[in-house]
Amino acid sequence: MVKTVSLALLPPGTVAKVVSISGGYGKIRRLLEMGLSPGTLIRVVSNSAGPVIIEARGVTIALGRGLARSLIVEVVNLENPDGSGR
Amino acid sequence: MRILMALAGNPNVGKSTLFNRLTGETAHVANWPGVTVELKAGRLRHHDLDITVVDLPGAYGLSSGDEAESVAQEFLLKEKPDVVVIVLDATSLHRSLYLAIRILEMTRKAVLAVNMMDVARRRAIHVDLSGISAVLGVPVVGTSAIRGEGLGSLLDRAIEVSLSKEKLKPLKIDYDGLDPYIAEIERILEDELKELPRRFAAVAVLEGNERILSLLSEEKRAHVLKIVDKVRRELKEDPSVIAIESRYRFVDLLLRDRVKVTRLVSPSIAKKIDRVLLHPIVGPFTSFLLMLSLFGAVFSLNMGFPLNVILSYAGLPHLSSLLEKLSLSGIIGQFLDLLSELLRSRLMMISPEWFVSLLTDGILAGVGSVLTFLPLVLLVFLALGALQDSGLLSRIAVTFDKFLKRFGLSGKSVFPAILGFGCNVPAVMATRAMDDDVERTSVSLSIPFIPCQARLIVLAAISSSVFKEPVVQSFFMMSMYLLSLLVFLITAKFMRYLVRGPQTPELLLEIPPYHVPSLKVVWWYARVNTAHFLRKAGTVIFVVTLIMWALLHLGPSGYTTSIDNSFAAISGRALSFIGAPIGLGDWRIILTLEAGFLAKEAVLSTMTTIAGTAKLSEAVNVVLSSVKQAISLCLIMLIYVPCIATLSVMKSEVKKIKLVLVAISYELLLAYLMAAAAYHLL
Repeated sequence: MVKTVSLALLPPGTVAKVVSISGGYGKIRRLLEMGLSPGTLIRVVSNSAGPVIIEARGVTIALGRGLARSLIVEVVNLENPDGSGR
Repeated sequence: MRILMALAGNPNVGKSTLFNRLTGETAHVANWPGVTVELKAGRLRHHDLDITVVDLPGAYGLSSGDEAESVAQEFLLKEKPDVVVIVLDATSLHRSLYLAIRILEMTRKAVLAVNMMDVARRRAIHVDLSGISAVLGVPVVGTSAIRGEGLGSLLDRAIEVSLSKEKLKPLKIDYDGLDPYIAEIERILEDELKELPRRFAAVAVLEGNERILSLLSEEKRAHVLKIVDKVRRELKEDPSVIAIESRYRFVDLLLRDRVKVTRLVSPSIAKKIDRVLLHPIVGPFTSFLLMLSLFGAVFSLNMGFPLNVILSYAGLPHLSSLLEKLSLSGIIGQFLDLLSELLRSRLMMISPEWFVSLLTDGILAGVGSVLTFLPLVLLVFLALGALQDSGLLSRIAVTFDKFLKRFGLSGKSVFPAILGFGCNVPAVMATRAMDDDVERTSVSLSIPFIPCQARLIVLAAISSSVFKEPVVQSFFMMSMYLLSLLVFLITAKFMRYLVRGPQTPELLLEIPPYHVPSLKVVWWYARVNTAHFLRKAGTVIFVVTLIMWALLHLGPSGYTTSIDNSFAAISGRALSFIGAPIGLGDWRIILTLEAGFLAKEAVLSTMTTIAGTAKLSEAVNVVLSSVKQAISLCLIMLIYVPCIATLSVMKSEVKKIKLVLVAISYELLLAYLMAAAAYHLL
């Protein structure tokens, strides 16, 4: 079964795939414009008290916690980056 | 009125993305008279103007060989759009600019959109947009059509160009060896092709542009072709080859000092820096120290502060005053004093006193206050540019985000806030580094509550003359600072509410790779912003300084040397009833506050003028008679209104005079209430 969680809950080092974006149109558009469309692989660089920092498409991006919460992802194994078969 | 805007550009520069962004759902395919193929067109409204946007086929040049190129050329010649937006690829400007100068040779009713700026940033490619704009004589805007960056200002510039009545000559390229032949053809074309720019037409026919050749009469065409043969014979080269080479040489020269690719820091070092800077606890601390030392150095170089305070506390008062004298504003100040003395002594005999005063205390002082801000603005933007260019700026913003979010601010507001302690003027200007317009406005309007160095001086002078104990002095100063900061944070939140409502900005920020800041890139950044200051705020500062001179030196009986008879004193007396409930009913105090509008240091100099003594502590004690009064005055002075220089940059940054007026009323009211509370409760 595929478990989806919000990005805000992932520890550093996790590789995940964007599943959906919850929230208003404005929020969705901002995240999409940054290239965080569903299917995009991301890696969590740091996630502590402040903004979450991730790497996606070769770019490092900082997201406020509110935005991180609305980014729904599924955790992907490092060996199995397409996330299928689990 | 309807504006016709054409989008031109090479294939794959993001032109279609830009077109879709601008026109959205209105896009449709349309026929244009004279153009054989259908073109995509769409509509948009901007500032209440209807704009029709036409997407021209992607082309590399305008010579008629290729279908797309001839369609683009045909449209530009036939429809004569009100403005052509030429879309360029920031990552391969060389090629993009070729087409741009081809179009500019035809018309200068154009704006350059240097697109894909986001990609360029990621690859550490920097472009001096204002430098290119200066050479080509058309606005140049950086955009990212994919992200929607810069589209607002692109439209603003495009509208300005299309509404402008100014007749600009097309761009003139130096065609070297071809120039005599071009001149010859220009003479032949004397009364033909009147609707085309003469030189453009001459070069086009020389290059064998079929479309334009076909517009000529049989006889003239034969004449032109004879010249083409002559060029081939004499220069042993086809004219079109020479023309293309000349254009590329022009582009090379244009770009030589205006595109800079900087070196990226190696990933392993970058990781190490990030481990420190982005650490939840160490990060904010390091960022804070970094900014403190950088801006501390900038301010010290400019006006001695805060290094002078540190030096005098360390028991080195001589070094401290030497530093103040040798600081940039110190040197400028001494020079202006000298100049004003010189003028005074020369003119005293031959011209009336009011004229001498107007010249020295008015005009020279006005020029002086603009001049003393100039190096400060330049230095601050050099520092800010270095932070931005190195990639540090976005990381620092990330570290402060969590704390500032409580006050409805994002991490980026930390820069203006820190700068504000030195001087509010560059602080308000530094809000330009923010992308969120609402936040920019709310921070700009709240900055005045951060006590700048000038207010520190007044505060220190009053507290040291009123309180005996050094401990009480420090406690007083500290509480005043904390209070101001609190007011700043609460106001920022309140202003945000006022401008848009309760939502907090969410940080979404690309963190660029680290690279070594390039002096050239940093210089471009600083130059553009300093020029903006000079143009927008400098004039206002100068004019208001003159008005203040009039208030302080003129009275009902004309020019007066005694401040007691001036309009300022009269209004001070008239306004003293307002000051009475907060213990400041003395007209002399009101007068110092009026002067404080000019510059906060003027509160002190006015006190010494009124008291007729050069000793500051004496003057303070002449004007103020109780501790309560002192506290009340300090509160008012900290909060009531920023100086005119700050107000004028606020106006130029926020752009809405109404909001600035709201901010001023709020400041006055708040200052009054706080002083009243302090006066009656303490």
